[in-house]
Amino acid sequence: MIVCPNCSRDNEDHYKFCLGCGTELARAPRPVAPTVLPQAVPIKLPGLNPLSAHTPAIELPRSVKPTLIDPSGPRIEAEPTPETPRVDPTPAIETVPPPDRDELPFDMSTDGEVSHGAVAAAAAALSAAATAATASPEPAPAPSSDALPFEPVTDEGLAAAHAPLTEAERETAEAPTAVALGAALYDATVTAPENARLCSTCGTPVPEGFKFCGVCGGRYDARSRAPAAVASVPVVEAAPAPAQLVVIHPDGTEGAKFSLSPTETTVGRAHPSPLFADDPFLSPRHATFYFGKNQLFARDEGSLNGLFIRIKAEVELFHGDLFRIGQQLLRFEELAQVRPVLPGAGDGTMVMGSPVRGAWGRLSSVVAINTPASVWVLRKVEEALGRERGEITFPDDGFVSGSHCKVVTRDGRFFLQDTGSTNGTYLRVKAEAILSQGDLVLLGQQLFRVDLKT
Amino acid sequence: MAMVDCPSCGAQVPSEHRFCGRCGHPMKPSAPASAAVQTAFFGAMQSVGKAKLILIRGEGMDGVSYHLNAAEHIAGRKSGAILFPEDNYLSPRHANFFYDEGRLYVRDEGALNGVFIRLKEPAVLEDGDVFLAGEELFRIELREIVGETTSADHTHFFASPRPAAAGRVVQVFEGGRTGIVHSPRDGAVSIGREQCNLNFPNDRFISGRHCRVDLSATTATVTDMQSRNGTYVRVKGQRELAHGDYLFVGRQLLRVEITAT
Repeated sequence: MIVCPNCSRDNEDHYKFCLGCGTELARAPRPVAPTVLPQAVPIKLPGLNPLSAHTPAIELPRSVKPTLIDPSGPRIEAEPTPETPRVDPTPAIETVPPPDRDELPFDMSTDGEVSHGAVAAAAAALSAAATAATASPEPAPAPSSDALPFEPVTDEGLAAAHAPLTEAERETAEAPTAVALGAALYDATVTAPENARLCSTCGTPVPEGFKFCGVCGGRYDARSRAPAAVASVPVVEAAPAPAQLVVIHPDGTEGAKFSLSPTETTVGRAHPSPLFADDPFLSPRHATFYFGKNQLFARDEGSLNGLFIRIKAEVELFHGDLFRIGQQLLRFEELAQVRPVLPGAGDGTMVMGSPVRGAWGRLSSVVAINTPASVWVLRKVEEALGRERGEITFPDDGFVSGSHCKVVTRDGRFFLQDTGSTNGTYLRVKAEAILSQGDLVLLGQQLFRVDLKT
Repeated sequence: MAMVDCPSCGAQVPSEHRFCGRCGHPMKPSAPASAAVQTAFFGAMQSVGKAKLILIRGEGMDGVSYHLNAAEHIAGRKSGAILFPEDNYLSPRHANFFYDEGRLYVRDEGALNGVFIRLKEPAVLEDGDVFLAGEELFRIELREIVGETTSADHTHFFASPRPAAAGRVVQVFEGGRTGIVHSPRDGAVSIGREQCNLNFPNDRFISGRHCRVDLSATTATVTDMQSRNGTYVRVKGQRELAHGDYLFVGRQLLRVEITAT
């Protein structure tokens, strides 16, 4: 258990952010890949190394544990200057260089109040100094010392994207969902205004105030207004990889890119790339990506934790399917296929119990391998899940949106719908699945975006 | 035909019968009666019995009475004086109503579904105990949920956070499947039709706020919240009955009336 330094809540060892308030958590030691926590916590600033030399080192007050911040925490990536057309220089594996702690002696600190906010503030200060070279990077959501520290940058953007809210409506709007699983995604059902800001990668409208496309996660570039503009940008590629997986950081920024072989690539803990080798939530052989019939397939190699793909609109659910919202792993069961746990007597006596009354399914939270804990019965045609609203609520999970998703029955079949959640609803791939451009895939502890180069 | 009263249950038995047709009690050969003095008796119902069970139907409609005037009275689906052949929730031989030193007891005869008694005061339940509220049946589970979090190849399992408390209330569906499993954060669960932790809006027999369960590490206390139809716990082994007790035997709701003191 990791006790949140902000709200004192107990969190599971593998959490990166507090389930209650979203504060980034120190990484607990893990048996598989033990991590030695440095005394001073560096921020990864690839490309900004020269700056660090001018950054005054500041010291943490004794009262604050330096382990407050995950070493893999806020990352700021320098971008090419705005005038430079974006060229992918290395089509092979590019990983963000691991933080060189000796070269980056950026000790986190402030004089008085030290919170996660200080990190973001410091990062923001740094990035301001680097404005000449960077398109303002997205700092990690910065919790204040209040109970609900999150003021995600996406919140206002979301509000602006929807029908304009009155001041009163704004006040009654739900508490923002902590942004955990990649970029806050734009509600695709909102129609774009005439002068829409369009994603330069996929053409999706990007609401005012958003720096990343909600659909593909691409950085919004004010100068390239539509995909057509992108087409004219010269792309230099030595040996084009057919597809790559792009790490999406918790704050929505892109991280390392992992190129997939034109034939097949098996990833897992046994993979030499540090992207995968250090992740204790990956099986040694976890999944294989391969091309067939001009499509990219992902196959689960019988892994423990599987591959989860963020659903778009609606997917069909089958007995035994697993899906993830926030930090919850949920299992769907069709009630008709659930076996009784109490045996009958064999003398014609029926087991007494509550009437089923039209119940058609169950959802269980899975707390260990094949081990359900809480169970909810699905009875209405639509059962809504959310942090605050719906039949099934997760008030303790800051990464579940107020209204997150729905499980629906129709014509004797079952469906899962995302209802505009911030962090998305992810369905576990059974055997294998076809991946499309922009698909978001949870693999171990990391979120990847699928980039197909067509 | 001359009739005599059965000494056990008070039923009218023809004088030439060797056993009571109602309760099976052996009849002593009666002395030739003097017809002039013999007073006719209106019926068994009139006799001052020790206790009786009244079958409650639906919402409080009194029905048949079962006089408990013998030493033992078996209730069941296939055998016994208290017979409910249509109720599949009853075991063939389900329960025994018997007297011991003048007190009335009910004993579970190893029935699949058991005998439930209405709470008059909060009851302390243990792991595995069951209770009824309205039409809903619940089981108390206090054991910690155990499960592997690492696979044989040392991969960590990504799992939901564990509930804060170990104890939980489990709904049991007819047929033996598990329904709702609820682990309250603060150890308290309210059950009712609406605005409770567990709500059953379609249960006609459950009150708005029906009962509550307070879970601790080793016990669970079930308290009826002055519900209209009451909260029932399963009788373990045998239990003494008092006047005014209500019992569920299968789907049958019985009220205990003890007339003799």
